[in-house]
Amino acid sequence: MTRLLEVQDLQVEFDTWDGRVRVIESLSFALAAGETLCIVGESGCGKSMTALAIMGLVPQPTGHITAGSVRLAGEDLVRASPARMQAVRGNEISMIFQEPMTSLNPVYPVGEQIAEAVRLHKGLDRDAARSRAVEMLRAVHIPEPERRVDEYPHQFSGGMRQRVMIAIALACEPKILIADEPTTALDVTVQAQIFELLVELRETRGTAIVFITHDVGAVAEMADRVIVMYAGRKVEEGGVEDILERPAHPYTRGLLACRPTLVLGDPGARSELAEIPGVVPPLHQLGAGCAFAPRCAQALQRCGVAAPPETRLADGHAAACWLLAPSEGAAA
Amino acid sequence: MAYLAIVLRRVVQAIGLLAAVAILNFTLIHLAPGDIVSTIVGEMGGASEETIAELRRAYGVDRSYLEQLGIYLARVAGGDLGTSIYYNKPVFLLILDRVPATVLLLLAALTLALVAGTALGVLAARYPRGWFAAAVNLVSLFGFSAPVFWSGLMLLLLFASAIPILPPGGFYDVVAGAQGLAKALDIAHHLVLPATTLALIFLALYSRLARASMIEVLGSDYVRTARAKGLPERTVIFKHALRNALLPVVTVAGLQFSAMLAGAVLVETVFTWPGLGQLAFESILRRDNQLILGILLLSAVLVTFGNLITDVLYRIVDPRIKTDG
Repeated sequence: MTRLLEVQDLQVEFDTWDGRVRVIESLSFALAAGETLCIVGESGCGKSMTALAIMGLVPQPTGHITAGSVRLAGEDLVRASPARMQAVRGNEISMIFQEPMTSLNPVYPVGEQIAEAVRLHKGLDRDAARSRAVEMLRAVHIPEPERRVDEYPHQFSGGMRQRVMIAIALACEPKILIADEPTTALDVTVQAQIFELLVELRETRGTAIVFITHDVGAVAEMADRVIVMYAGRKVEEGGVEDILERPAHPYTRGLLACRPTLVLGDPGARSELAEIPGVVPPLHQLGAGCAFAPRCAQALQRCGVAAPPETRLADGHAAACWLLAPSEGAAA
Repeated sequence: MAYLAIVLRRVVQAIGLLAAVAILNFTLIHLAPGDIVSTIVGEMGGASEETIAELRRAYGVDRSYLEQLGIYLARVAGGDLGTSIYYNKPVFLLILDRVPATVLLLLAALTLALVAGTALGVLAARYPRGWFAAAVNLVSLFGFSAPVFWSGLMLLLLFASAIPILPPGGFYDVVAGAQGLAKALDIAHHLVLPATTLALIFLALYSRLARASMIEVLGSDYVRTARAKGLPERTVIFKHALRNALLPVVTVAGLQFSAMLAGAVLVETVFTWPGLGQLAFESILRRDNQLILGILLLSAVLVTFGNLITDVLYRIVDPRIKTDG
C-alpha cells in the first residue's frame, strides 16, 4: 500500500482568551492512493481543523501548527513555502465544505469559478478553461451545462451548488479530495445523490477521499477505513468493518449506539434513541488523562491520570483506551 | 430588455420626484417672509404705494399662490427657469455657466473619496491589528468629525500659506491666461485643495465602511473556497473579496451624493470655486428667488441622476439584483 498522504504527530494550537488551546493532539494517520478515509466524531472534535491543517489553511493569526508533519508523497507540507502551498491547494489536494449555500462567490458565474482554478494550475487559456468548466459541470451531472456555466450561484439549489463545488475541486484532477461534511446542509434525498456522485467520481478518477462526517450512515456508504476522533485526539482507527462491527473504544461504541433504528414490519416498535451522557469538555479544561473518561461508563481510576496509549487490536485496527491495554488484561 | 424596462421605469419615477421637489421648493420660497418686490424696493431705498403695486403686478406676485405655482410649473415644464433679478440674465444660462465647475469638483471628490477610502479600508482590514489599521481609524475619525469649512481653512493655511504649493482659491489663473492642456493642468492644480477638502469627510466614511465590509467578507465561506483553490492572495483579495465588499460602499456613496452636493456649497465658498454652490450661496443672500429655485431644481436633478447611476452600477456589481424591480 503506497502512502499518498501521511500525517505524523500533528499538533494544532489556538490562541484564545483562556490561553493557548490544543485542538489537535499528536494525530497520525495515512491515506493510500484511491482510498476513502472517513474521519468521524462529534462537533468540535478537530475533524475540520485536521482538514484545514492538511490544506495549510489553519485560521491566521490565532491558529498554529506547533508540531508534526503532513507529508504528500514524501514532501512535508507543514514546512512548505506559501507559494508551494498555493500550487498544492486546488491542484493536488482539493477541498469541499459543509456550506454549499455560501461557499460560492455570489458575484461571479459558476463557470468562471471553475475555470479560474484550471487557468491558474493547468495554464489553460480562457476558451479551453471554459470548455473544461462545461465538461466538469457535465461530470457532476448538472443538466444543460453549456447554458448553466454562465449562471450565478443564486440560480442554483443547495444540492446543485455542492455539485458545482465538487466540480471546482476536481477540475484540476487532484490526487486527494477532502470533503468536510459535504451533505450536512442538504436534505436526505440530495445527500444520497451527493454520496452517489462522490462514489462514482472516485471510481472513474481514482481520487483518494478524506471524508469528514458525524453521520455513521455516511461512513457505511463511503469508507474504506475510519478514524474516530474525540477532543482533538484519535481514539480508534480501523477498516470500515472493524469499526462498524467490532468497535473497541467505548466512545466508538457509544457513537454507533446513537444511530436511530427501525424494526421492519413493526413501525410501532421503536427502540429508545441512545445518547452518550455529557458533552465534549472545553478543550482548555482537558486534564492529563483520557479526554473521554468523564463521560465513559467504564472509566477506571487510571483513565483520569494518564492518556491511554494506542493498542493494536488486529491488522489495521487500533484504539487508544486503557481497557484495551495489554497490561490491564481485562477485556472491554 | 427587462433591464431597459427597469431603467425606463426609474426615469419616469425620477420625473415624478422632480415635479414634487419643484412644488415643494416653490412653496417654501413662497412661505418665506418678503418677496422679490420688497427686495427691489429695499434696494431702491423705498417707493410709493403705486410703484410697489405696479412692481407686484409686473412680477406676478399679486396673484394667488396656486396661480403663481401653476404659472411657475408650466414655465419650468416648458424649459424656462425664469430670469435672475440680480444678473438680469436667464437662470438657465447662469446655471449652465456654473455646472461644469461643480460637476468637476463633485466627480473629483467622489473619485478621490471612493478610491482612497476603499484602498485604506481594504488595507486596514487586511492587517487589522497593525499600526496601519490604527492610523486609518484615527484619520477617518478625524476626517469624519471635522466640519468641511474648518478642514478647508486648515488645508488652505497649510498648503497655500505655510507651504505655498497650491493656489488658495479660484478656478484657474486668469493672469497667466494659459490655453489648451496648460489650462487643464492649471484647473487641476486649483482643484486639488477643494476636492481634497470635500473628499475628506466622505473618505473617512468610505474607509470605515470598506474596512468593516472587507473584514466580514474575508471571513466568508467563499473566500475560504478561493484560498482552497490555491489562488494567490492578491486574487483572493482583489477579485473575490473586494467586489463583494464594495456593495455597501456603492450603496452609501449613492445615498450620500446629496450630502456631497450640500458639502460642495461650503467648499466652493471657502475656495471661491465658481460653481453652483457659490452661486446658490450668493443668490440666497440676494433673495434672487428665480435663481434659487433654478439651482434647487438642478440640484434635485443632479441627486436623482446620481441615485439612478448608483442603481445601474449596483446592478452591474451584484448579479443577484438583476431580476427584481
